[in-house]
This record gives sequence, structure tokens and C-alpha cells, in this order.
Amino acid sequence: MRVSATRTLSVARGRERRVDRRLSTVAPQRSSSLRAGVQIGCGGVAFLVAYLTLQLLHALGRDPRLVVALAPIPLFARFIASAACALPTGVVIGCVVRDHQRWLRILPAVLTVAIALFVVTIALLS
Amino acid sequence: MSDLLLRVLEHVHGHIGWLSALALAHPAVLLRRPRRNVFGVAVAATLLVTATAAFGAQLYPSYRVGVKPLLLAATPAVGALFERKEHLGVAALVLAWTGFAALALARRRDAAAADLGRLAFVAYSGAAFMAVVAAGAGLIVGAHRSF
Repeated sequence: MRVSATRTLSVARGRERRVDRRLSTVAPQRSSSLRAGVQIGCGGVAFLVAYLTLQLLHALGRDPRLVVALAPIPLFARFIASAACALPTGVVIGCVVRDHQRWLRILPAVLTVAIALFVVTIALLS
Repeated sequence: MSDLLLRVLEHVHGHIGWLSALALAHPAVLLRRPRRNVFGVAVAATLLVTATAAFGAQLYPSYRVGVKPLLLAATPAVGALFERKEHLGVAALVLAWTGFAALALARRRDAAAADLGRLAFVAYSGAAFMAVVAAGAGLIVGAHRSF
């Protein structure tokens, strides 16, 4: 009983602290959405870059063996491989980066560049 | 899969593809104001593009064996267009899910909401552009040869 009461108290205090921080105009805003946003944005960019790289390698006839082994159809294999690269890349970058706010601010521009690069490369070189 | 089923699936894929291309443009237009709540629209658009991709993935193995070689032999330019359409479709799907995830986070209405809204705007704009180009290319390819 005692242990659970202590836990309840600490949880309640933790919530209070979070509310205080959110309402405060002085305390730095550190929300988990910032980190998750960076992870999602970086994951999206990483997917496009990985897919583009694998597509160029495919066009040059140099498919990595690991990618070929993933699925019998190259399109599906490339999709799975790119997703497998993008997910950990996004998660790791989101965890490693310190200034999430700044990264989240520049991510739309980075994603725009990645989209433009993807479209141009697919249109001209694939 | 029987020929009839393939043909039906191909038609459904084409129609839903156009629908999802237009649906993806809706959140992109609304998100010019990043703090706007467009979650319902985004859910519909993302589900539609996912359904389109699922139909396409079902069709692709049969198309690759039965139709693509003939298409490439008859009209190589249209065959290349088909390949490009597939890549753009994949990117549209991933961008739609990126935008959707960013919007889901933005619903918390905290400090990051505006930045996440901007990220979702870019993702949905890119997805809509790629989906429109892919749907247009699909129309040209379908007009040349189908199941």
C-alpha cells in the first residue's frame, strides 16, 4: 500500500511539473512531439534518399545482394530496403539531435529539396 | 487471379488512384495555414492512397509478367512512363504517411504544432503532386495496353 501511495504521489508531482513547464513562459519547451516530429521528418527524407540511391544502383546494374534477396520483385525489394533504412535513421537522428526545435524548423525545406531531387532523378535518370 | 478479376482490379486501382490524388491535394491546400485542424481530411486522403497502393501491389506481379513486356516491346516510351509512375506512387504513399504522422503529432497543440503543420504541408503537397503525375501517367499507360 505504502509503495503504491508513494508512486501515485510521484506521478502526480510529475504531472504537476509538466503542467507548470507547459504554462511557464520562462521554462524551455521540451515536448516529446518535437523529437517525434524530427524522427518522422528525417525518416521521410531518409526514405526518399535511400530509394533514390537504390534506384540509381539498379539503373547501373549494381543492385546490392541484400536488397535483391529481400523480395523477388525489384520494386518491392527496393521499397522494403528503403523503409528498413529510413526507420532506424529517423529514430536515431531524432534521438541524437539536441536542438529539436531548430531541426523541425528546417525539415520542411530539407523535405522539399528531397522531393525535388527525387522527382528530377526519377524523371530524367531512371 | 482470373483475367476478369485482374481487369476489375485494374479499373478500381485507376479510379481510386485519381480520387486519392485529388484527396491528397485537399489537406495540402488547407495546410497553407499550418495550425488548421485537417485531421479528418488527412485520414481520408491517406487511407485512399494506401488503398490505391495496395491494389497496385496486388496487380503488379501479374502486370509485370503479362503486360509490361508487351508494352515495352510495342511502345518503349510508355513502358518507361509506367516504371516512373510506380516510383512516384511509392513516394506519394510514403509522403502521405509522413504528413499524416506529423499531423497526428500536431494535434497535441503544443509548441511544435506549427512546425509539424508546416512539415505536413510539404509532405502532403509533395504527395499530391506525385500522385497527380502518377495518375496521369497511369491513364496514358492504360490507354495503350491493359489486361
